[in-house]
Amino acid sequence: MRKKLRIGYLIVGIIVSFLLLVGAVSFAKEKTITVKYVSFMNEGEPFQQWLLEVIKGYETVYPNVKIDAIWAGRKNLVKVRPMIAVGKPPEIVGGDPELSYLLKNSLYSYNEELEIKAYDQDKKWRDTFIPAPLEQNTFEGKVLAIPQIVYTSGFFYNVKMKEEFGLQVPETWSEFLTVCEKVKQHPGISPLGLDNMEIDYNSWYFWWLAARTIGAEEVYDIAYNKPGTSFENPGFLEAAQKVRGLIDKGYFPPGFEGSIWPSAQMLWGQGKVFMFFCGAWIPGEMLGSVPKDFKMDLFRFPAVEGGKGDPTTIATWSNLWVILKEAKHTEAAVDFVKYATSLKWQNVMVDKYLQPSALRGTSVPYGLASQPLIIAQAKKTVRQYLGIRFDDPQMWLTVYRSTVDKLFNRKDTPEQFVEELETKKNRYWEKKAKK
Amino acid sequence: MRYSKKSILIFILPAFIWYNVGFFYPAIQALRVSLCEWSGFTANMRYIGLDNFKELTTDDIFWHSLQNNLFIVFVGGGIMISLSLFFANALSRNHSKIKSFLINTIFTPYVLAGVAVALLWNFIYNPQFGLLNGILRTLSLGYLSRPWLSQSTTAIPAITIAAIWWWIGFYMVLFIAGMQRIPPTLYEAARIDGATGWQRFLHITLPLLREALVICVVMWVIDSLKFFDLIYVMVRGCPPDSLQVIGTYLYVIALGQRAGVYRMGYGTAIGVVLFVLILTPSIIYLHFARRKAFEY
Repeated sequence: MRKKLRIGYLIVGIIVSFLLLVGAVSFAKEKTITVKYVSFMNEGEPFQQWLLEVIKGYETVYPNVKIDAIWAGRKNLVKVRPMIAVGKPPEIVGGDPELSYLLKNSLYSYNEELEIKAYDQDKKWRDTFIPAPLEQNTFEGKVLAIPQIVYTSGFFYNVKMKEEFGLQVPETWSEFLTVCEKVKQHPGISPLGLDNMEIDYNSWYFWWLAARTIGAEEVYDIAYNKPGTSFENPGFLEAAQKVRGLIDKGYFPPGFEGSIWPSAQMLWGQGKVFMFFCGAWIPGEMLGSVPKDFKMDLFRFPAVEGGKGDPTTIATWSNLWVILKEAKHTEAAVDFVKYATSLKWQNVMVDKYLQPSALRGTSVPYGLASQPLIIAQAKKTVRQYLGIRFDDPQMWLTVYRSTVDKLFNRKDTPEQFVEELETKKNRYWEKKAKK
Repeated sequence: MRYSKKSILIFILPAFIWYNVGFFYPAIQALRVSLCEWSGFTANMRYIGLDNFKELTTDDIFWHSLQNNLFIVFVGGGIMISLSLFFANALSRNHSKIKSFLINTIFTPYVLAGVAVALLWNFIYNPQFGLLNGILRTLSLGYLSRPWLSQSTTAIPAITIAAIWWWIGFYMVLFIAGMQRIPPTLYEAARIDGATGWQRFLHITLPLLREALVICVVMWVIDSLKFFDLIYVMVRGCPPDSLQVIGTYLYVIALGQRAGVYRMGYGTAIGVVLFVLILTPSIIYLHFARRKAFEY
């Protein structure tokens, strides 16, 4: 009888302990706010390393908030989708410029918080940013994304090689070709780097030449089939011929036709290529791959003589932080983003990780010495790919991307290329109109 | 010992549930999604009927992808089956000491993961320092060297060759297993009757390998229509049109690879078409190949 009583007490004791434990855990969980952040970054990338520091700093200052970061890489939206579908959206999603277009109906508006004081500065949060990134992510008056990093594009060149070869930074297309010719005289060094399989990067050559010749906004209008416009505009043929000229003159490295990213920039870092056209992530991305004494800088896409396009126009775009409005802890999420965009942390991002900041007053990262001047001189800024890619990604994929590939692969002559652009564009818009 | 129907049902129930959960239910859902316009980022799908399938009929990239797949099916299949038959025939009745070594050597690539195969062949096909162009230049055939993966005329054949190298061992082993079931007395009788090696192969080996051939052909058709990993890894994501196959195009359309296109509905419609493409020839071939099994 006594034995049975003892067993009974033991069982009751175990049950009570278990219940107390569950209760304690639940209570602790309620006290801790978890902000889920599905990042665009892979582990080990410079920006990811910076984020780790920021998260640690934030959790030290706010111990009741846990930032649960998932380093999902460039396919992070594949992870986000099912989270939204099951009704458990993450608070913060990081991504490229398309993110705010893609998710705009699901995003939290930062408008209110932007009018409040910044984290560690006396001015409004809005006023701490350079204007373009916020403007590009404003839809119907609502700011739906905060810039993580702001990029421009340009020709990144080897400064040491420039000095050794006695070259000048070209302002015009003729000067650009002269530079290419001079570099070509040096055996084993190609003037321009290019990964032919990286079609989106390659397309910059054509679109920028077209923008310099015809005008960036005009090119956008033609691409979007504005009435009365056409790819038969001679500026496009001129641009295509110039692109083909670069290929035919042998300015790209031998075998570039089969080259896959990041071959071009690796060859550049090894001193086998003088310059290549890319975005301002290059210094950070190449940090561990170039020799310690490697010096780099950039210049904007040259003007085309006689062209109608503004020669100072540049593209700026940002990787973004967006917050999903249906998420549980949107306030904490905004607070974290505000913390990450404090002047203190933005300076760490610039100085230690060489990422260009969207914040005013931060220093210029190594390798982007000319970027502030390029931005200051720009009378106009446009979105990446002149904005063509964002407003109708399907059109970009099926009409422009696949056709530009043929120009670089010499499958089309410049004349055929322009004709195909016009034909495909018309067909696409006809189909769209029927839907 | 006789089993009741009830006990049989109990034993097949787990597999039946798993089949329904893992295949049948998702297939029905896929059909439903293919009839909708859906980005995947919202809870609601917009029903659009057969519009996705209508769009496919005028989608140039889809038809070009299908063309690439059919090249792999027919040209690749012809080479694959012929070569694996050749190796199997040469090795199955070979009693030399190096027979096992040769079989293992040919079979080894099959055990590699697709990613490893893709990376390896990426190096082989590299236009600057790749093995293939290097050999051609060494043999004074440098004029034949080219960027194999970027030219539209060589891209898919190059991928097909990589696939054949990868899978040939598996098909060869299937044929060897089939050939070893054939009684040697048939060959002896044919030899006595004066049949040449080629005649013995044509009139004895091939007919009696029918079952193995059916399996191999059906598997090849399925594998080549589902082609994805080699291309995806070799070109890092969104291939140019010359390298698109249905699998990669589906991925690009549904999952926003490089161009921000997130059309789950349209991508699923491509998937449904792919399913029908895989199923149809398999059913037709199995129907015509079904004959009374040969009894030795």
